[in-house]
Amino acid sequence: MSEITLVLEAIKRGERLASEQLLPLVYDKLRNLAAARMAQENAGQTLQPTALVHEAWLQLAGDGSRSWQNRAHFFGAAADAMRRILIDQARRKSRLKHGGGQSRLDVDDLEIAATTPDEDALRINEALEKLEREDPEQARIVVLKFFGGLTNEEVAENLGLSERTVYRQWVCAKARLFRLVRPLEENDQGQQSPV
Amino acid sequence: MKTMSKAMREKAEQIFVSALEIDAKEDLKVFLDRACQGDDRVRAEVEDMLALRPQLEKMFPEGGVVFALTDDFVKASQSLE
Repeated sequence: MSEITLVLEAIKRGERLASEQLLPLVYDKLRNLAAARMAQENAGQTLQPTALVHEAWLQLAGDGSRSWQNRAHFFGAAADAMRRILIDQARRKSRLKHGGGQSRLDVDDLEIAATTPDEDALRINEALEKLEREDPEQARIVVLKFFGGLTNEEVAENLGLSERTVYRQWVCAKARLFRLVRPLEENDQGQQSPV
Repeated sequence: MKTMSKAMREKAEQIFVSALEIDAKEDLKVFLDRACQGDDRVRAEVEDMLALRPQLEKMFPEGGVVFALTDDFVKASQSLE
């Protein structure tokens, strides 16, 4: 846990490197948890990735005796890390699929990402990047809620906003993000949504 | 998605958030008539967002989504027929 404490301290000092440093910690924990969970469950039984990831984060965040502020900061960094894990895996698998697969693919990577259609994940990330350019605050809320699983209260604390503002920005961001992806879907399938 | 000015989008979002709290269709119509003040683009924007509501709940469940989300995301957008 001392490594995590260092990361939390770095976050408190506002160091940009903190979430990158956190990535291997989150990832290792996730992989161990995934392996343990898979060993317990019968093949074909549905793994609950959301619960699993959440559990990983809770464990990374410690035993709950840490102050709430640190937890919020930690989850913020963890949300960035999760986004990176998901997108990196999707890119790697997409490259392999398109014939660029000279690098070795870790079997554990496949287990974690098995429920994710990779190109869709990349497309959602692209939409989120667009939202980041247009409205950084809304995009940040999406990262914290969507990838981090933070509550409105935690996001409010994390970003120094009121809960009401977080709620308002979150519902609007969801609609915006959805509609940034939708035109791509329509182009792919020749569909229009009548409203 | 149609491009619209930041001010117009913010106005639509503000109306959208308030409209989320109105359940009865008639009440919603009265509210939108008043809030949109005859601005058809803002109204279309608000109505478009309101129509997404069931999909959004599925796509972004409370408590985080992470890996399982993308399936639902795509299914939800495909269901907008």
